[in-house]
Amino acid sequence: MLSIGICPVCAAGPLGLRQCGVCRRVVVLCDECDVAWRTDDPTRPGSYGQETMPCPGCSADLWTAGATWATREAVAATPWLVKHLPTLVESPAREPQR
Amino acid sequence: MANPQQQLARLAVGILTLTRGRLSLRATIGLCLAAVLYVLVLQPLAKQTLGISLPSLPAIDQPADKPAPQSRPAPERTPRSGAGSPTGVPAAVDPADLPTVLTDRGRGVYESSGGLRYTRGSQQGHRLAHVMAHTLDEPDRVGQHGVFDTNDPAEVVRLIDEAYGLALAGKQTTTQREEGRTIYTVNLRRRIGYIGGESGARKGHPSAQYLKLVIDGDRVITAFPLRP
Repeated sequence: MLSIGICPVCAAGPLGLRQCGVCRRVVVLCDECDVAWRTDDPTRPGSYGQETMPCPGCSADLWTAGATWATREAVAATPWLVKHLPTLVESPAREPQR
Repeated sequence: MANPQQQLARLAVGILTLTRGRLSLRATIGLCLAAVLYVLVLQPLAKQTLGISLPSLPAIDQPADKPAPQSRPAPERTPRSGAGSPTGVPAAVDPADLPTVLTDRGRGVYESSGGLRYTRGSQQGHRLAHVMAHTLDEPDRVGQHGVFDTNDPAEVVRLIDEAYGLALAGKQTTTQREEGRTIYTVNLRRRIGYIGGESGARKGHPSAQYLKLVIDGDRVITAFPLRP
């Protein structure tokens, strides 16, 4: 899992980069408290998971529906994420247990 | 039939174990002497004079229904790690197996006695499983990963209820509200776990006495030990 920091909501979960399986956007997702943002600006409204984790772009479930952790290639193809490329933190991915 | 020496040895151990702290020293010695008298004098005498084999004294063990005492965690124990397991998370927990602490409300919703609901959701598929992911360390996880001292799901649910009760009463709690989340940081004033993850490992797995509880209404989103 590639991440760009620690979640400002729960102060514990890494801000992972998740690629939606439907709209293919790369979004920022805290897998601890299930909050997602369209961009790296967490002051903008996010998307809050309950039984599903809606993509902030298209509302598809980020835990199913073909979503995956984003690759470096997907990150490089996302303009607002390019600046994070040199400082991305990579850690073992926890894939959904569903 | 065991020989007299074996009988006496087993008996002595059994008597000492069972009567520890319950009988006076004098009563314990009297009980041991009676057993010695039975095994060394009465049994052989009955066999020699009357030709009767008196029964051997049974081995006295701890009652079978008494569970073996669980060792309490050392203050700074070796972290339990999920790194070696294929999934990195604890074995699946079924909330239906916890009827003493959770009430089944249907459709995968379970309510605790403290009024919190555990529903489907999270990458683990259920919020209780998500919370239970905090009973194992994830040494490679970025940042801090709070780990509960207990890995008993019922104890974890009760601990979260206790923290929620304090939060609702406004005691020992700081509260933060986001659009879809309420985040309580509750000081339980005793050790409840330790800090794992990469950050925790760097700091020597310090102990944690705070619990971070993230909820959406009365739905648990996550909960874990924390050191603010």
